[in-house]
Amino acid sequence: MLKLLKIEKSFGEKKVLSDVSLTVEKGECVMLFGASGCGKTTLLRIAAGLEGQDGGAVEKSGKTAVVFAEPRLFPTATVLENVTAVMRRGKKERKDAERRAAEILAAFGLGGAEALYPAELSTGMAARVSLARAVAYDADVYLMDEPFKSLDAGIKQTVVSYLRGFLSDKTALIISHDSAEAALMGADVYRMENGMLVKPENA
Amino acid sequence: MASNILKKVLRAAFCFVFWILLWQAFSAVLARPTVLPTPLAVFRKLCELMGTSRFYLDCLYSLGRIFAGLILGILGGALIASLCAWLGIFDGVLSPAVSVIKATPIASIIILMLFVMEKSYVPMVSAMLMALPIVFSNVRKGISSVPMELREVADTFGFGFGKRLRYCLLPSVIPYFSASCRSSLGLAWKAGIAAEVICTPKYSIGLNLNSAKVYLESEELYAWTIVVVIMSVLIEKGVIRLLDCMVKNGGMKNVKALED
Repeated sequence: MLKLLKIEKSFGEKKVLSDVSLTVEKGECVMLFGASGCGKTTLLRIAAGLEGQDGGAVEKSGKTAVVFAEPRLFPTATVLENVTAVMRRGKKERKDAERRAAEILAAFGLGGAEALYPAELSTGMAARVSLARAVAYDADVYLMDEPFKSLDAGIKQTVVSYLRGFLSDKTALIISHDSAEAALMGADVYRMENGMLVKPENA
Repeated sequence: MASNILKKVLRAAFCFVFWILLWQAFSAVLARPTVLPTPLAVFRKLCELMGTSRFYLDCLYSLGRIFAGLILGILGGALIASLCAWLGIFDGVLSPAVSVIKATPIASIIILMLFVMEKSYVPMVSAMLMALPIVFSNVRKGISSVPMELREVADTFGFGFGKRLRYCLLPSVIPYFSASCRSSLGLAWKAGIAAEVICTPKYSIGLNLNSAKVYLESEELYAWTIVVVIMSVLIEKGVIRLLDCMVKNGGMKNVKALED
């Protein structure tokens, strides 16, 4: 469960978030839309604990995974290592972790790319590795900032259908600019306007 | 490939012959063997020195002393930089001390050290104090250059110290560390030899350089200087290869090399 209570945030004189409250229950996926610079990413960063808020509170239950707008892969680790890095493992479980990571990568259309380094990946591939890493972490709360923006139509379908199944028993807050993605994910839709959260009437 | 190697060898040979001829010409014009002996005379002296077991003993002792100092300087610099990055209080206390060491002339350090320790340790300590500030400032730079984006990823996924070191810290620090090792190598070697010349410990290149100077043995002075230069080049090449090997075998294949 993720609960944002009366979140306030300003950068200098500029008020970015004003009295934002949102509750996302377990098994629920909420998609957040809004114009660039309206405070979506700031809200996500506050929810992740990466940014402090001026007022209000954040309540979360369980582990949180974040998919950032840019892939943020470890440049000196292979694709497989980038995914297994977030998995808790001792020496005994190493093989299991690698097998699980390879399965997730294959589900995202990255079978055969395990040994590549981030510099050798296309933007879309790197974005999928970032998603695979978050999935491998097996968190309770997922916060994703435009996770599908670099994916082409064909692979997006595969990734979205996998994620929809995976997130069915998780809590997810996803930022997007594409309303079609909300339909594909079966997500509730909210819009950020002037630092405030509104639920569109037709949603 | 083979022609490229041949070209390189020919170019190096040409440069070598050019400088030897220039040296020969200058010594012939000057005609003062005590100031500038001929290359042949120096070469003869070098061969003569190399024929004695004492030559190798002196080289080994000098190498051991200076290398030990270098390793201590590298480890000390890296350790102090890590402490300073970890705790602000260390930064406040240790950073000015490192700056003072960096600014102090090596000759002053050598003479001061002579008051407080046995003279055979002075070259080692001089080499250490030469390497320490260079490694310190580079490792500090490396630690502070870890991208904020990766720090956030590590925070988000709850990385412990080991994973932070492996995925965030080492890839940023290694290029700086490697560059600092390369820079400090030559300086530590020179400082160590200079300290040996001043302190003249038993079994040292510096002792030979000093006695060659005292007895106006120019050929021997030049021969030992050549030995110092050759050893410096060989050590540098060896250490660079070792560092590259460590980076590659340590799973850091994609670490970008930092230019000196």
